[in-house]
Amino acid sequence: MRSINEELHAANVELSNKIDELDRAHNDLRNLFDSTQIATVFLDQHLVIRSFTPSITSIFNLSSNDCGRPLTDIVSQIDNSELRAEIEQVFERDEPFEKNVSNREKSTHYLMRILPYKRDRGVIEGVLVTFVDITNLKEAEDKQRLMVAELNHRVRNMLTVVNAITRATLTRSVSKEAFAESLSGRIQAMGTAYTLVSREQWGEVELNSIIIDQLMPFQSDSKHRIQIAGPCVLCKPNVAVTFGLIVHELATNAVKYGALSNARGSVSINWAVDSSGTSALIFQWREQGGPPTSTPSRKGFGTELIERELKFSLGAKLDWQFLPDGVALKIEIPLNSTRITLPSEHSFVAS
Amino acid sequence: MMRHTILIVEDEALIAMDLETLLKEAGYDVAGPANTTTAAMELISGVAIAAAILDANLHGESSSTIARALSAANIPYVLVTGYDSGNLPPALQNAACFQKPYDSKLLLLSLKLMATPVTLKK
Repeated sequence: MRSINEELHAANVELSNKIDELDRAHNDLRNLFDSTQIATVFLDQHLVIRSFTPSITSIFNLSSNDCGRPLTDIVSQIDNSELRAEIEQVFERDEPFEKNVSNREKSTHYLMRILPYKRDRGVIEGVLVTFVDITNLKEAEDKQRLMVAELNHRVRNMLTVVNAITRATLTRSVSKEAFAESLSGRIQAMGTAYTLVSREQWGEVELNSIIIDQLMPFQSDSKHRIQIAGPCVLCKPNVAVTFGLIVHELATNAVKYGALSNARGSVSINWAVDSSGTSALIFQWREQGGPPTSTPSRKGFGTELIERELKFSLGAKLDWQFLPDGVALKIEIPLNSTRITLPSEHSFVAS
Repeated sequence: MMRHTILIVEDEALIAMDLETLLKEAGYDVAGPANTTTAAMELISGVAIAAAILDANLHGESSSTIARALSAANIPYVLVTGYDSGNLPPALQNAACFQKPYDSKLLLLSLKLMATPVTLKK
């Protein structure tokens, strides 16, 4: 009698341990299901719902009493009329199936996977259908595609501009050497501007930096002869490249014919923002101490480039003055959120 | 010989200048260059234009409106674009399209064919 009792007790303990184990396994599984963001539904071979994870309810209108109903009866946010055929394919081929699906508004995207659900001996008893939200991934892909298209556009545009500059430089050059020197200088200037723009991640570039970078090649022998002063003004990438080329042409002209062609001339570059009326950037390039100037009889390409870019691209007004001691150029560019802006008060950095 | 006027619509100053030089050297008069839809539309309605060179994109916006106005006025045009030609909006898909950087000889040739259409005699 005692031994039977002991045996019963032992069996009881074992059973209770087994139940605990099962409980734990069940809890583990439930916690796993609840924590995972992967929407999952278990179906048998007749597509009848056996169970599902909570997040599936954002895709199928499911509640706990729907277990036992065929999934095809349930209203779905997803536009996929092929689901039944796709599940049947998984049964037939014993292979997982996956494709991208979207909700009806096309605002949420999922990677849908159908996997065979197998018992111990590898017999397919049903399927697991999972949905992973890939909306962020898809948006990133779309953004990247746009960026690549935009980059292609910029590269093509830049090549076309280089082509245009080459042709124009060629027709105004007196010798092969002069052509090579001018063209190389202009391509360098574009390169310098692009370096600055890419350093700012294709964001806005400070006018001050554009000018300093462009004047670098001219600084060595005329260090204290160039003065630059003006408040912080921000240029969009395309304006930065335009302005870079303009400053390059002005400096080249100064070195060739103007105040930097002798040993004592100087250039002062000033700008200010005029807020009376429509806000405008007033930019002044003033050469002094150079050889006497006079209104040129013929416009060089450098001057034409400056005028074309300023009037056509920036809607600017220009005023050239050929004064006895050097050239004075005053440029008035309307401020415009797509071209030139002022920093907001908080991000103001004194330069 | 009658001089034909070609409209240039292009938002990049140096490219517009290049096109203008090419056309003038080839014996055309130039309308524009226009760098906005408004400016282009004014020229289309105000000037006798034989053909047009149209940048598919002005300051990031499609030139579809201009293309439709050109078609409505029976003005032939060629597109010039820095984007892949496969990405053009529907209104621009049937036009002859040159990708930047364009071949200036081919561009001039197609303008010549457009500005002086061949008339068949009966």
